[in-house]
Amino acid sequence: MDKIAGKFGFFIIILLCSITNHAQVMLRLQSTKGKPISEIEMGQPFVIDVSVDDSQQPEKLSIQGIEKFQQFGRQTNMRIVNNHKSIRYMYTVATEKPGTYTIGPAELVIGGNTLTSPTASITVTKPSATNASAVQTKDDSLKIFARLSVDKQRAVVGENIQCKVEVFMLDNSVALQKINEPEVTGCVLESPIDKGTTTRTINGNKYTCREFLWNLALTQAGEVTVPAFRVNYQIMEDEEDDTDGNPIHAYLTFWGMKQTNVQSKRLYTNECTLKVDALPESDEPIAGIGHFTKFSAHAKPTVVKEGDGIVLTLELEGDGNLPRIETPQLQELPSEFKWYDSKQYLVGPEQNNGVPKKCFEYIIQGMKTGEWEIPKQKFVYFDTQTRKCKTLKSSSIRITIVPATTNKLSTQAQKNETNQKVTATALDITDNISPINKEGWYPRHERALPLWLFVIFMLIPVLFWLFIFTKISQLTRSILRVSRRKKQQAFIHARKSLQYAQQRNEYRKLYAIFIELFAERFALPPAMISEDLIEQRLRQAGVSDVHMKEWHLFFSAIAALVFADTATQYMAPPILFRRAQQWLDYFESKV
Amino acid sequence: MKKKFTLLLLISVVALRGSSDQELFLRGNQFYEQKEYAQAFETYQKINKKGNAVWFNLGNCAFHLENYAHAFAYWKRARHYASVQELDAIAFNINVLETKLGKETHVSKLTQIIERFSAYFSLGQAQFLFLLSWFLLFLLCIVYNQRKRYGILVPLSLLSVIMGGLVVVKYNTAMHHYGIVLNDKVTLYAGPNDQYQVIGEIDPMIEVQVNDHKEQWCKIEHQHMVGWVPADKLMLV
Repeated sequence: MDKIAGKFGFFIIILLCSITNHAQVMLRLQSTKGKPISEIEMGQPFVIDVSVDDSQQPEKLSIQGIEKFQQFGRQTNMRIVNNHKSIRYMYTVATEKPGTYTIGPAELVIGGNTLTSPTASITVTKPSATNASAVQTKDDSLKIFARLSVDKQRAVVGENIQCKVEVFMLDNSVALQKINEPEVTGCVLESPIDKGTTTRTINGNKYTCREFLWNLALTQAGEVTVPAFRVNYQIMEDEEDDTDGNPIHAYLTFWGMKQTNVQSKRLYTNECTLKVDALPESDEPIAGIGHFTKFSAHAKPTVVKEGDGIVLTLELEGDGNLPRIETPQLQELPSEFKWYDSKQYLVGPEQNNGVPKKCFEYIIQGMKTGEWEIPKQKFVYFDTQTRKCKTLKSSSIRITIVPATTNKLSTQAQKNETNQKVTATALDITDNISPINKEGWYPRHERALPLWLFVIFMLIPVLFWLFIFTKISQLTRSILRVSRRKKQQAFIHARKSLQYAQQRNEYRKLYAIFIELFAERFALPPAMISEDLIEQRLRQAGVSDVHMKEWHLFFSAIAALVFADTATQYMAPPILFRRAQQWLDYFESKV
Repeated sequence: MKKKFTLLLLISVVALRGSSDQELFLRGNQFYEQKEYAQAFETYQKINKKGNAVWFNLGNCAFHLENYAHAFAYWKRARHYASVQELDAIAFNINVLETKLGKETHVSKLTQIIERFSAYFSLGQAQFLFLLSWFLLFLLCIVYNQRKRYGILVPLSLLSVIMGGLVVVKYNTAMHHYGIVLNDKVTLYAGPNDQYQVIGEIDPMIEVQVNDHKEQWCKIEHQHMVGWVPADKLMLV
């Protein structure tokens, strides 16, 4: 019994010793395909392989220096061949920082004992190919490569440059995952545009080419280098090393179920360098860079009430740095106008006859009634075609501001609303109609005269005036007729009166007979007839001076008969009557 | 007694009808303020005797319901007997509508002045002012004709001409009927039937003069074209 116990104890001791003696920890660095490596490009994953032969499951495993790397995964393999058990721990890691790294030792704690591996070194290098030629991964040969190009080699600060990254993939075993943008100085990269996939033939091979475009805004003068872009991809690789002699793999291969290994990998594009010139000096600040063709302005509506919003839109057309052009300040706007910039938006070339356009919207408010003009607006830019500064001008716009109504319809609330929504879009502004009318729901009826009555009223003064005119004209005509008759019969009447006076020897009536005669002939009242008037009219009638003298003597005589009763001293009454008869005859022919 | 009762009943009916219309109007206003434009539109439509405020509000509702041709027609209809302030509001809305639709109607300055000026006076007032100035003119013609002083007659003559013109405008507006072409282009026929020859087409939202109507057809005149269109394609304003 003691012998048996002693033999068993010896066996255990021998076994433990043999375990301790044979357990060996190895640390190896290898590529993802299992090839030993000592150098790798930054970003490329590699495997830290820690293996322990003839050992139990370790209680603890630690690898010094692994923390400097980014870990992508860990695999554990255990193999038992002829009672020899080996355990492998594979860590897939990578780093972005170039340099020489020491990894290890790996320490394993097995059964309270600590086993230590040797260390391993690896040098992480920058991507080797940085020229214009395509970068090719060493391992994947020509299955995938990427190329970076820029559309201009020389530009000015602020100019728009397009960076193009083309990823060429030979077959479906390669799948593009992501393109990482590098950090760049002296320029700003905008969000990429995926231009899709095309097929290209290079060296007789058909490649699937995926294109990405970046807009690059240059911010400083000098030499700007666009660093290499990192392309992440996945590649399917056949299990080559382990399949030999493995019956399971042979079985799967036979049935077409060949196992593949998907590896995540990275590659880098080339770098590009371009020369950036400073903008030339200009009297006015340069607002844009590119080749612009049109700068226009329009306003809607052009007739508004005081304080109401008008949407003024400035439109800039052409190729250039449209996305980065800031809303320009309105120039020389009348002080009676307030303005606010509302919004800016880009119109793609497909919506504007193939020319890209940027619209700047403003809300302007006229605070004073009258006819106003929004003056021409200027846009100064650096023309990339002629390499000179140029100025585009919009047309001026006439605006009519009408007085704001005091109506309840256009209340203050509406104005306030307009002010609040002053940054709203043009569409909102155009929907801002007058509020509803809350008075006058009932139909209004105008009281007016019927047309026939109105016409009658209108004709009353006309008819009245016509009546008066007719009456006056009738009266005038009758007066004229009477006076004409009197005129015609003046001499008859005078002769009769003379005859009557002669029969009665009333020579004092001679004066009155002649005064009445002249009054009737001259169509004047008798009171207005004087000697001077008679003389004047007789001279007008062509009476000679001799006759005038005689008439004067005769008239003085008959006047004296009336007023002094002295005529008979100069002329006897029969002579007076005869003379009177003669003068009547004479005047009848003359007057 | 019977007569008094009948009169009282008649007054009550009229008052009730009036209050019902007013109630509908207020309810419509409430719906409008709650932005329930379809209900507001329906409520305003139920008002029996519609004043220009009702037509105006109907136009606003139609605008919000994106029925622009009807909105245009209602606003045009609201112009009848509208005050200057109401005319301004209507003009503003029509301007907004035209801006929205990208249309620009050219109205001459003279027409605008006449429209605004005529809105200050009703037909009765215009008649009264014209007759007053007319009578004065004749009276003063007689008086100042004798005194050979004609200076005072010049402004009075001018006033008479202006007020006479205003009366003519008012009568012209009152005597002619106008219509608005609704949503679609309307075909103009030579007679009141679609079998007649086609004369032309008129765009929607165009104001035309309506000269006659026969059954379901209206005889219209627009830009020297005279023809017949289906009545349902027009809204009289």
